[in-house]
Amino acid sequence: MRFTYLVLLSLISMTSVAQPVQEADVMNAQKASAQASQLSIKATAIKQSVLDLNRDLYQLEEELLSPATTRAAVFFSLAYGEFFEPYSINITVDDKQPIQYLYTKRQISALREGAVQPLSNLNLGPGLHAIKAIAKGVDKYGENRELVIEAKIEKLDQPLYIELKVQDNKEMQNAELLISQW
Amino acid sequence: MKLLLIAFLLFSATFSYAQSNEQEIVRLQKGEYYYHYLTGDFPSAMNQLKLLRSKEGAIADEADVMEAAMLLSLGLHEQAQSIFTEIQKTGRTVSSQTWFFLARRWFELGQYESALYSIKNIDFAQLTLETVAEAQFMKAASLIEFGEHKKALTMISDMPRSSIWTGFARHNLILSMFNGNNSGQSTALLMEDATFYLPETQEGHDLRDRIHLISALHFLQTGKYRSAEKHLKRISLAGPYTPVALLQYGWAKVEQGQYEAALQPWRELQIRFNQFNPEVMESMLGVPHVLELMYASTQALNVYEETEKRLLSMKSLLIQMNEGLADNPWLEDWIYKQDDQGWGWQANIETTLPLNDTAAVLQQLVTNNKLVNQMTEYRDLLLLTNYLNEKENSLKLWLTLVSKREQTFKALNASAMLEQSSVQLSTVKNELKQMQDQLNQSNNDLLALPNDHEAKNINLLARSAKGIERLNLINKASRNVEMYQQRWNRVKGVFLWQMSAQKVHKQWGLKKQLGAMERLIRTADTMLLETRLAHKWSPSAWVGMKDKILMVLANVNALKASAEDAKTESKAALLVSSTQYLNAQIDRINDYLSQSRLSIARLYDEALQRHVAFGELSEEEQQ
Repeated sequence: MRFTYLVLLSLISMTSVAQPVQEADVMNAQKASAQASQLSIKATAIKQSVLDLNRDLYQLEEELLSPATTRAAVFFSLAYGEFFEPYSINITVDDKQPIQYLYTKRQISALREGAVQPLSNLNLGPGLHAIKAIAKGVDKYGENRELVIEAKIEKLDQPLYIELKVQDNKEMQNAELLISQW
Repeated sequence: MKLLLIAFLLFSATFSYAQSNEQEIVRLQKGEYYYHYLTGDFPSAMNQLKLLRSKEGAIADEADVMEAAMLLSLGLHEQAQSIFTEIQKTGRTVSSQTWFFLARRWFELGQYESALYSIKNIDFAQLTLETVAEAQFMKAASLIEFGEHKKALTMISDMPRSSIWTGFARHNLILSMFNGNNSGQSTALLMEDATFYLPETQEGHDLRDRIHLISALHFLQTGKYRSAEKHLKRISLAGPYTPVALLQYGWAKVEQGQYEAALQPWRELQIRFNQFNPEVMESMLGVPHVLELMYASTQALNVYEETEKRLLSMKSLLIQMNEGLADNPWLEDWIYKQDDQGWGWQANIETTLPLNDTAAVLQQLVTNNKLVNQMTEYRDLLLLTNYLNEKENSLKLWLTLVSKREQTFKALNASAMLEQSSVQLSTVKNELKQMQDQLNQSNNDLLALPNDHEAKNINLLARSAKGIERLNLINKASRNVEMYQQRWNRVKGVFLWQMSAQKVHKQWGLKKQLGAMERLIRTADTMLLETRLAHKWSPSAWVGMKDKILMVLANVNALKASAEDAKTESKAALLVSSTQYLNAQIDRINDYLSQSRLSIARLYDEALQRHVAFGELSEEEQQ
């Protein structure tokens, strides 16, 4: 019985000591929360600045890597993509500058939703160039397929846009690789 | 008049061609934005937006909506909100796809009114089936948030029955009905539907468990233990809700007086899960409590004493960990374990900590959303600092490269080389022209296009003619010159015959050679022209770049310094939070320790009192 009283007394004394400790904890928590929100504002400002910087850097790198006069951008897109799912694409310009790319599921899903992939920025001199593209993948039955296209492109003093598009041909029940330039 | 008409037609054809080109380029740029956005590369998508912003008309309107979605994805809510308010005021012509992405962001942030506004602008016919289901879920869930259950139910009935999105919508509706104290027949039917029509995927199974768990908790609160037990039994033993389900199953049994049956799930819980798991800790004291209820005092006492020892060892581990937390690399381990190395609010964060002793204790820490946000912010700052370091290095490299480009351009002296090539080419062109003239004249010249042998013979004939002429002048009687003349004429005749016979072949051969040469000269001419152009363009690769690079470099350095500061502050704040968490855990263990000690004291006291009451003490002990 005596032992029980002792335990009870010790518990009461513990709770009376615990009261100011809890208040201090609340104060600390409030202080920490204020500090955290200040830090969050600072982090947001840094993120915004990094975004702005990223834009400047992007523009600068574009100018450095490929000045407008020699710039040629290659894009890849899928129209519907029912009859062909690309695994990889391989492009050569004038039998040089090979561009190779392997696709992930997420990227294919993005392409199917209407996205256009910026494959590569090239530096091309003025005049005619030969381009060859091979898209490897599977058709709707899961069979391996290769779509190939070869064409001539002409580079003038303005930036050149080249689009390689895999387009479904409903009548033929298959897909074809097309090339356009602007 | 005709001339004017032709000029007008030519102008309009050129204008429409240029316009269609422009539209195609805009289509590519818009597609590129979607590509970056959908693959989670937000900084590149922002760059693309800058391009789209420079266009006029509908695409600029669309860029506003895209930017709002992007800023929300990057955690820049205030900026996004101001753009969105502007959009709401003015109204925009924007594609359904773009509205859908914006709606998704608002919904994830819990801004249901804005989400509903964005969904209202979507034309479902323009979206894919999967996207339509997600949009319908967002609409139903937003309506539920506003308490419009009937409208939400109508929306759910329009959704495909076994889609995961329909399951999510039903789950939200059930929760909302429980919160509104609505647990009639319709709720029971909804629960049946919600758990029955779910896809057989991991996500589907987890959602089924979750629906069973919320139903069970609701029934436990309302005292319907048998109903709660029915739902708890259906929760899988290998899912994220297993610990809670096992603990609550035990309590449901205790409430029904089935004490022995309550012990089994708790033992299972203690075997399967980590001892720092809150459910496991609660079950540690639950077991001896149930033994007490079963009047198994000695067993209860033993288990309490065991629990006390276990809690003490856990406490000492926590204290030790708390002391060395600043040097513990658990946070860095967690950051480098992430598959997604992109920064921003939308990054795909894996909250499970890497498997080690520290993670066993701190795993519960990452169930706190506020702390996960803090950790994510620290991770973002770390990634940004790395990114800035990388950019600083590459800018320095660019600086070297630009200087090299300038030096090479100046050292090349390309203008002189081009001039020299031009002179050489014009000489070759003149030579070609002369040869073409020779070929043209060859029809009128009997002795045209001789080869070496023939040229020698022509010379010989000419010399012979001179000899005969000289003999004629001398004209001696003893010499018959006429015979020589006849012979000369014969030889000349045969020679001319031979030459004229071969002339056609020679002309044809020469014509072929001249044609090939002309083609070569034309190619060389084009090459020279292109090289001149390339030379003219090449200064654009370095002129003015140095200043630009230096300016950006200064910007990078300033930003890097502030990012480093923020990173240090963020880590310190995280350490404080982790220490607070560990202290809270120690307090919790202290609380459990006092409860177990109190129970031990009470059990001993009760035993002592029974001893006294039944007179089992000796007289000496009683005194």
